[in-house]
Amino acid sequence: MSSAETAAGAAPTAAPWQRATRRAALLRSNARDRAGVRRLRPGVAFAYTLTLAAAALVVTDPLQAAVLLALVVVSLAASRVLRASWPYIRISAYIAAIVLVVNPLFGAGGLDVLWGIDLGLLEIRVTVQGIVFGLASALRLAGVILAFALLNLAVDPDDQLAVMSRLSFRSGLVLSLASRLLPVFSRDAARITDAQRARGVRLDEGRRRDRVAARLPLLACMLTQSLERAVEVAASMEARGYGARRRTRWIRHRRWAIADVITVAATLAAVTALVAGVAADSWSYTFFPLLDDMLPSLLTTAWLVSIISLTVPLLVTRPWRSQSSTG
Amino acid sequence: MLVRRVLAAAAALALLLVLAGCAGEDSGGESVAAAGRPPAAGEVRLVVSRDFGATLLTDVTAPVSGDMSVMRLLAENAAVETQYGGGFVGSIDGLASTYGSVAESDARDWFYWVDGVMADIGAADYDLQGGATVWWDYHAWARAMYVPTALHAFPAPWTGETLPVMTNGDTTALAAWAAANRLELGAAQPLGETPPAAGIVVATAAEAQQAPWLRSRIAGEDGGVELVQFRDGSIDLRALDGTQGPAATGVCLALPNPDDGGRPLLLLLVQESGDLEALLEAVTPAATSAHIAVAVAGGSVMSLPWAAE
Repeated sequence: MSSAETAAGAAPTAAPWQRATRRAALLRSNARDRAGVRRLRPGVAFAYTLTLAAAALVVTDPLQAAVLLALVVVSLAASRVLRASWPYIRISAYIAAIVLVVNPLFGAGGLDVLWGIDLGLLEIRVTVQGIVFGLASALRLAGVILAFALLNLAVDPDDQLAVMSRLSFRSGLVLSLASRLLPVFSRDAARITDAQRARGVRLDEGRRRDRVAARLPLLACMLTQSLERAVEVAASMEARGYGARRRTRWIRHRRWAIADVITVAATLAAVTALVAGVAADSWSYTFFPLLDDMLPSLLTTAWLVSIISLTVPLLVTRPWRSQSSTG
Repeated sequence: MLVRRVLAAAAALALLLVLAGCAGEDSGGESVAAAGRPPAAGEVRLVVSRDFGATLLTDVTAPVSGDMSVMRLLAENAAVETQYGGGFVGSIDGLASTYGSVAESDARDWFYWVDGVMADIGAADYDLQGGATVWWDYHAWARAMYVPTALHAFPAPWTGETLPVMTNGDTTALAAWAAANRLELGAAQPLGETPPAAGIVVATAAEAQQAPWLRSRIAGEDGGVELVQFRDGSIDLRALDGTQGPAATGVCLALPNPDDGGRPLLLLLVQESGDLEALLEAVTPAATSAHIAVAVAGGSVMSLPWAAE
């Protein structure tokens, strides 16, 4: 008898106290894994990560964008989800690369021309200003994408839904389902391609064109699966009485920790500084026709308050403490 | 693997800083306040004003570099925002074009001249030579969209060549004034039926009315705007909206030259020949700076176009 069969056979006969012990061990393990932003209450983490995304969206100075991106990456690492965020990092790197290439080619407003070509109707001039603009856009985009990655990875989707449901239940549900779309699709794709390989389909042989052609049937499978899943989700919601009567709520009470309170205060300070900066036009950096000096914008009050406030939650959640000591 | 990624990110940031550092280098030196002084050979001068020089915003000279364009000179000395792909100036020091956002009759915008001639290409494409004066003025589109010539850079663009003089009067005072302003006068010829190819024209109101080509150019029929009108033998100043202003004893205008747009005629128009000296005293680089034209009326010097207070 294999170990798997043993486990499968043993499970139904396990005593209730054994199951309770295992569940308690699992909960303790989950609690130990919570680090950085994941230690915060869902609503607090939600607000903090959204503020990070807003800050990455608002700033235009390339150095500010770089600092914010670094902060988001450090937050991912501190929350111990850096490895899990690799797909998001890859996607943001691809998009950033496209932005980085396209912007200098078509943003011809700069004066320091590095290279140019006149194609008759179209004149392409690659300028220093265009390249820096492309870099800054790429950094901002990566900052926003990774801030949302932090939100998805650090805040459980059910908790996200719970937070959103207080504002708008239906919108929260749609957002929650949408945010699960990508991981569910990638899991489906992996499962189907595994099944295809098991049946002898040669997906990884031949030239690139052949490999793409071999994967085309996957699209039809994915479409069918997603439609079926949509019906299943709808049926499941209906079976649970969704929309039939007044909605019921299940609330998990969780105590406010000092870190939560400080993070809320810091997030409020950051939001205030961001809004004040918008009102005072502190976030507008000029790329064209000549680049503004980048360093002075690092010394503005709005920026200093914003970046210090956004760094505080990282410190109060004490990500440097080892897993064993945080349990 | 992780180290390589960290190094790549650090390299990207370093590239950003290097590019910013390269682009941040200005074109060779600090700008200094010009205060109406014409630029030296190795300098260019930038004047920024609004309402045809009624309010002066910037007046600086800067060392000229190899690739100094009008846009670079402006961007290095003022906060500039561009539009339409970077070749069009949308705002200078926060003063933005209103074209497209208000009724066309109320629209205001930035216009620029280089050495007395309104530019016909984008500021980013206009390369400057040493000694050039650039004038940016923010004013209404209506009735003043095209003002091809201006006195703003006087004595440019009349320096560096021998100027034929067309006059029926004595040139003694004119010669002294020309020498003081680095202008080289050529042979004098009487005011005739045909315009000169270039140079200086000195005429009384009566003489100007007798010469059809001069009358039509003053009236703006060959391009430009009508800044003065003849009325009962006198020279009346005229606002852009057609309002009649005071009578002037002398007016100095840069008349458009349809045959050679880069060489406007310098017109010294006086009520009587005896008014010439007073007008010549008024035509100096400082008095004409950031102005299209100047006039002497009621004993004082005023800039044109005339505007009611």
